[in-house]
Amino acid sequence: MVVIEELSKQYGSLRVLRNINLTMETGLFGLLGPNGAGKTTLLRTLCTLEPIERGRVSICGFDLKQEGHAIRKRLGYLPQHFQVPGSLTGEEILHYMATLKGIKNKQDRNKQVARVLEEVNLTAKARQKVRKYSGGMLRRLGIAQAILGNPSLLIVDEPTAGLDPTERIRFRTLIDRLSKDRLIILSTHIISDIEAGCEQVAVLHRGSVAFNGSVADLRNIATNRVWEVTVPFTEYEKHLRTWKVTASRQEKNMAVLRVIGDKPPVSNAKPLEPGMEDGYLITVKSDTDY
Amino acid sequence: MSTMVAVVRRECGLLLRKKKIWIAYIAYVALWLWVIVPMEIEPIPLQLRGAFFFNRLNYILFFAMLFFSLIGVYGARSTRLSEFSQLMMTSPISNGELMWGRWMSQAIGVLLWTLFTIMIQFLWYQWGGVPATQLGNDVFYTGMMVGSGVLFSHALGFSLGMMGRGVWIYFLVTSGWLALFWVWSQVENHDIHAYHPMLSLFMPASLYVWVDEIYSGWGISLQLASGLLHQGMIAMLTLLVLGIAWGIFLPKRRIPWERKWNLPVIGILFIPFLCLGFLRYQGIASEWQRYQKEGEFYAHSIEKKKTSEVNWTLETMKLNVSFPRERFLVVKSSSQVVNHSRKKKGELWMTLYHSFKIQAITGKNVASWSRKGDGIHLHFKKPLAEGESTNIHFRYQGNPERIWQQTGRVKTGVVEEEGVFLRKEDGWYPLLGLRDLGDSWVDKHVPWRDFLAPTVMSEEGRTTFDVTVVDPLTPYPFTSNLSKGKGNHFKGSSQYGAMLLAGHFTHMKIMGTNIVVPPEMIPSARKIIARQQPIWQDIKKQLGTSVQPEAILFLPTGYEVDPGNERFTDQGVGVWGVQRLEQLMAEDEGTTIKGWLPVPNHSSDTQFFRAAITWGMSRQLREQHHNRLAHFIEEQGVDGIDGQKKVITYLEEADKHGRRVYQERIRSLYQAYLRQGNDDFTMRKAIQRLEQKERGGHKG
Ligand SMILES: Nc1ncnc2c1ncn2[C@@H]1O[C@H](COP(=O)(O)OP(=O)(O)OP(=O)(O)O)[C@@H](O)[C@H]1O
Ligand SMILES: [Mg+2]
Repeated sequence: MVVIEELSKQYGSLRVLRNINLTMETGLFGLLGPNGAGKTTLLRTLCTLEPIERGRVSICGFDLKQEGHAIRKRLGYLPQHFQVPGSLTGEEILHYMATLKGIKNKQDRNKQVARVLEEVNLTAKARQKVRKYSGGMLRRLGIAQAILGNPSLLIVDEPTAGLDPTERIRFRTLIDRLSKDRLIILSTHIISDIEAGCEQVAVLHRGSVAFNGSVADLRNIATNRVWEVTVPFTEYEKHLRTWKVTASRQEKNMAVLRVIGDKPPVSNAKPLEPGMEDGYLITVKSDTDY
Repeated sequence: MSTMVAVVRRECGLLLRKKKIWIAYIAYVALWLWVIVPMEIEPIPLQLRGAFFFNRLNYILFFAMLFFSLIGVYGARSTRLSEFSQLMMTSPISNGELMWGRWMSQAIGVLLWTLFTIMIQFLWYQWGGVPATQLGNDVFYTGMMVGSGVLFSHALGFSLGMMGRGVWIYFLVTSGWLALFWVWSQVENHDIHAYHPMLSLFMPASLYVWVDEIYSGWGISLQLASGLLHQGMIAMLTLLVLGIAWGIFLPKRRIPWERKWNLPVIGILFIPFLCLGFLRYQGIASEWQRYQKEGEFYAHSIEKKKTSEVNWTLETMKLNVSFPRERFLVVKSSSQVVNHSRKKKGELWMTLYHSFKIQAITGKNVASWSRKGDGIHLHFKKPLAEGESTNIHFRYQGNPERIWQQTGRVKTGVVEEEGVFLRKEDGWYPLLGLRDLGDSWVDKHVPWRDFLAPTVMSEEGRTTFDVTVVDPLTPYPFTSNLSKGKGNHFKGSSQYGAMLLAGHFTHMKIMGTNIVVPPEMIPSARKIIARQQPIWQDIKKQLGTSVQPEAILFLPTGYEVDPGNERFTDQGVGVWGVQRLEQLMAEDEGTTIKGWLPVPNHSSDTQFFRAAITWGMSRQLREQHHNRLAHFIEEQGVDGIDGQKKVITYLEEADKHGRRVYQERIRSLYQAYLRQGNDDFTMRKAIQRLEQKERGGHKG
């Protein structure tokens, strides 16, 4: 559905995207990467908001550079910083966006707006001014407007930031359902968001694709590289500096550490089952090590 | 389209929900109240209400243009850069719909401001009882000017705001406007002639002189046509600017039809702008050329000093005038001139406006003639001895129209379907002597700055006129300062000369004076004459001189010519501007009397004398100054009055004996004035003589 070839972008002398090559198919596509990696820039480019300097992108068979209008007809987008005029109500915003998306028929619009409000559990707050929304409510309104018009390409930039656990679960279910028949590109810092329903993952690091593959592939990177080490609590600080510790817990006066490393850090280290997060960290860290 | 409507509705709703906007509007209304209320505490004459409103509005307008162009820059920037707007850009809406929708929603706010402005004007006029027609005119004019001006500036700011991310655009726009204000303030606050008229082509709007083809004064009736043309041009430019903004706004995001149509639309919008702009340019250029040509003509007139042939009289003048079309007349004239000089005269200068084409000058005694400017030099076959007369016949035709610059742009020599206005001073028939039909100064340092004014001319003797209009052109009846006979036939003897007038006028006699006046102004005319009549009588009674004019033409603004700023020509035909009855200002009795005194304001002594005469006639003044002459004189600010103590005492002495005695003294002083002449007259000398005579009288 989306084919990105040799995509590059620069802000002045800062190279934000470097020769990106990605192919995305129907389903959920997770985009990971540390702050400043270029995720938002990549997503904005796909949304036709950023001009393409080098490389080629084709979405649903349309060339991004030439046929942006055709892509916009099929697009739903939740920006990282979703801001709307505070004096409007949630419902008004949705109606406005629906009109912009070309849903001209009033009845149609009413139905769709009611539906998306229901999906994000905002029906009760629909008539309230957006100014009075909490951060999470605003985020949910953003999700609602993105899925208006039943877009075949849904791009959501950190959709779950600020959502409470219940809402996050509701969101995941929604995404699961929607991803059956469309491509959803989701960028996030919360690995568990994509761990469940995601087939395709890419990790962006410093503007380059550091990893591209399935969730299992990402997890497999960490196979035989995750260890559990128990050390006296007094040495905890010292080991933090020398080892790559990704988690820790206290047991009596001992510290149990989850350590990433090619070799076991100590002889009595216990090998652990790798998680996606471990794969991600290895991808990102090995890169930093250069 | 429907998407754009949705954008406009939504964004406009958003705008109007902002409290700040309403605070700004309320502040604007308050600003006007702050201007108006102190003004209304002292009641103001009606016609000044308009002048006052437009004067203040002109300043406000310029700042509004600055303000709204900054708003436009802001609007464009938020359209390009705001988070929500970026979200809108990911929807299929076209660039044009998005951009124009945003622009329009702001423009509605701009128009709301205009609406507030004309509402204020409307209410203020209503409250002041300004007549409905003027109110309608003024409000329409304001709406058109202000609306198109601010809309343009907003569009310009919007278009510039599309150009870059930097805030430098705000500075650019601000400094651009301030530069324009500077030019404007140089122009409007200084002499009316201080700028090249072509500059007015570049003004987005102005309530003053800018809109007329050449320097014009205030008067909506004068400016409405050129104002409409100019603002039409500005409106077209506004559309053009928006078309260009459409091209600048995210060119890569354009959808296919926009890509195809952007340039053609800009091209199509360019055409009407170019046409209107060219018309406007032409209008200014041709008027300006004509004005300059005339100015140069009179500046270089070699006969500037010579005025009239003192030793001749024009006994009779028979004129046959036809007006075959607008701005054109054909005249056949027969005149009889008489030589009064002791010497035999073989030549004579006469004057006829230079733009006429003379077909023939004939006469039994006419040997040859030549033309030099407005002058015609005639040579006789047989020189004329004292008392001898000869007949001269002219045949000529041409356009008599002339344009002057006074307090406003004024046309004379008008021959149009709506009316005819031919004054003697236009040289529309052969005048006796070599005369200047215009006066002009050219400023060498500022090449475009020159001044062209009509001249005043007086005749030595009376002429018997016989004027027939054969091809009247206009449906209106003709009138004249001469008595009307049957049809368009005028006859009579006049010292002034002949004036021909047709239009929406009535000819009538009020208290013995011939009056030509637009019918709806008759009540005003009656009131004005009723005010002057007792003064004429008083002057006649006290000084023995009649100052009552032969005729008075009451002309609505636009026709009025005010030669030399005198109230009436000294030949006894007054040309006065007239206002509707309800707009007439109260006149100060003293000022009115002074306006009629046959003693010109020449020296401190004549100034003193004028005050003294006025005192004798005015009842009002006596009340105001508690019968204290000295008090009144002091207030007149006459130069060197301290040295005139004795004279004042003398006059006060007379005043104590009653009005009759005082008036007698004044009459004697006037006799002395007539003997001594304007240059040599002093009050002291005159009184000394008088006292001597009185003493002599007592002795004998
Ligand atoms: N408009 C801009 N001008 C200049 N540099 C920019 C601009 N936008 C982003 N950048 C830079 O580009 C790089 C990538 O930014 P981007 O927002 O795409 O990162 P991100 O992966 O979304 O980060 P985060 O997880 O924090 O959202 C950063 O270094 C950022 O500073
Ligand atoms: Mg981001």
